[in-house]
Amino acid sequence: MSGIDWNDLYRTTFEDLVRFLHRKVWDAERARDLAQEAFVRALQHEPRKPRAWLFQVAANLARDEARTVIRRKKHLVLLKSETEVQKEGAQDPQSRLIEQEQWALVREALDSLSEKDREALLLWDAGQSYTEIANELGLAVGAVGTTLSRARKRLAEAYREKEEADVARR
Amino acid sequence: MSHVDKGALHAYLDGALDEYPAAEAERIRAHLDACAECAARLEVERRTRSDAHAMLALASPVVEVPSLEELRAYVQRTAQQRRGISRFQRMGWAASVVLALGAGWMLRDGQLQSRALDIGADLAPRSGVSSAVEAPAESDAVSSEAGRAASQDFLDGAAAGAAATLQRSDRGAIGNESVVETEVLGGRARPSSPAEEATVDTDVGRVGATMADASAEEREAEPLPKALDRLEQVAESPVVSADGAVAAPADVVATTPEASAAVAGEASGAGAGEAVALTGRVDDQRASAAGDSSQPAGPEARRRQVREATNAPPAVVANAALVEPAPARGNAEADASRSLVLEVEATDDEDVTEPLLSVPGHEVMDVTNLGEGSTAWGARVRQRMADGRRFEVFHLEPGIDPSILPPMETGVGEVSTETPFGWVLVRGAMDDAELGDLLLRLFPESP
Repeated sequence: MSGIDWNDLYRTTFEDLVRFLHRKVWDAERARDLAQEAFVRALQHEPRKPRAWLFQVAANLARDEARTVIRRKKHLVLLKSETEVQKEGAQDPQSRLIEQEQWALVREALDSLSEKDREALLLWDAGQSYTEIANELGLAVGAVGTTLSRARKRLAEAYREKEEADVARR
Repeated sequence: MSHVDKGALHAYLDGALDEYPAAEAERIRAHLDACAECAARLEVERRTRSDAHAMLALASPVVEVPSLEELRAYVQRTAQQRRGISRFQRMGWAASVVLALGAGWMLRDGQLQSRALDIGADLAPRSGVSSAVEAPAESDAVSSEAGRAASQDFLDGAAAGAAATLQRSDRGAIGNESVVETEVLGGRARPSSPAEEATVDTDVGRVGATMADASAEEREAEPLPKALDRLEQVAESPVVSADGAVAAPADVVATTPEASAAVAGEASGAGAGEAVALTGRVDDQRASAAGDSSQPAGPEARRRQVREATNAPPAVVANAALVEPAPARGNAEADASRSLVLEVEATDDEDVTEPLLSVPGHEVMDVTNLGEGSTAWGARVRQRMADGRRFEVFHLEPGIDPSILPPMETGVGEVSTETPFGWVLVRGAMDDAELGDLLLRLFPESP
């Protein structure tokens, strides 16, 4: 017996994991798939520190996703996404468009951060503690706050710059 | 007294001071209470923090949380399939193309009994009955009924009845033959022998194999001698069909020339009648049906010019494993479904060309996911050629065995290959050359 309360872990972690992954792969459905994949692996491996393990595996999955173009899977995702887009889009296409534009801005702003800053920010936003972030990124706990302060400042600045540039283009 | 740095301010705002050494946390709190300058800085940082998180929140998808039970079921369902991870993958994509040729093509000569011989890389233990009997449990678990029905509607297959394909064989007698007589010898279920379980406990790695805690063992390819031992072991295990004929396992498909040779050697040594494992560069012609399975003949090499049929690159080497069919009885149909497995060479995963979703140059009629949501296990693409003929392309997730697919109608052929991205199959009522060509066109050369 692993002693892991899977129901609790799942309930408290899944959404965080999807959000974390979404900001890496920028495909909501794919993020969900990867989160499920991470949980599937966790169920198989029953790690000692499942929450931290999940984020670590998720980060690896997202990294691999970015590194390797998995065309067929993307097709599969596309198919699923299209189905859901059809459902959702039929309800409010304009909202969806706005949402997509916002996502694009955030994505660009996040891309302007260094990898470590971005990772720290996303992990924090996904509910990881300073200690967990420190372990994940190889930082001292005291350095996590500094990293986050830099990341937040840079994100806010970059977002505003891109937003202004976007408005100027129109 | 030194001021509080930005990092500490954020830790304070994040409620993370408790993770600091107690004395340090206490000093920071005390300082913020007493220092107006730092209190002002704290407000600036609070706004920055708030802005950043508001921006991040803009990119928060609505998360639909699937059922944990579904995931658990998925894990359980795939556990057995994962055990059967391809030898091909574990052995580092050995440099060979393996052709497992169903005897269906021989059936077209009209010499043979209606027996669908679907030969692949099955090392599943068996005695007396083939994996046809075992297959339904798996296929039921993933509920391929919908796909099966759709598939049967789609393909212009001939009348049902003559061919006993994997799933069909469990449905009862077909014609005058018993279930066992019409069973598939050597289904395409992938290896799942206990020996493999012991040596392989690896994740299929749907997206990437970068596992945080993946052990070296999991990544390690199985040593060749062990693989050979297993192949030999299987080769020694006869398959006894209902009519009493003893067959060496015809579905052993070796992935290296050495392994093939070992298998062929075993089959030969055993003198077991129905099955013949073949290896070698393909340069030969279609084999003719020979022998009476009730009086087993020795193995007979049969080779086929795959390259000619499929326009495969010249480096292609093919090994074929054939099952000699049972003698004809009564007025059995001369045609049956058939299956052919191509294994496309690659040196490592980085070099593997990922298959296209559909065959270029042919109309895509529709694309369907197989399975749902987290339990989706593949996709089916239906295509139409300019002359109106249709074919299907199946993409299965890694770890999903092709035996899950709906059975083929009589007259329908299938060509398949296993890749790190899962099995890819092409089915259509056309000859193997055309099917092979369609399959290979799914693999454009890497840039």
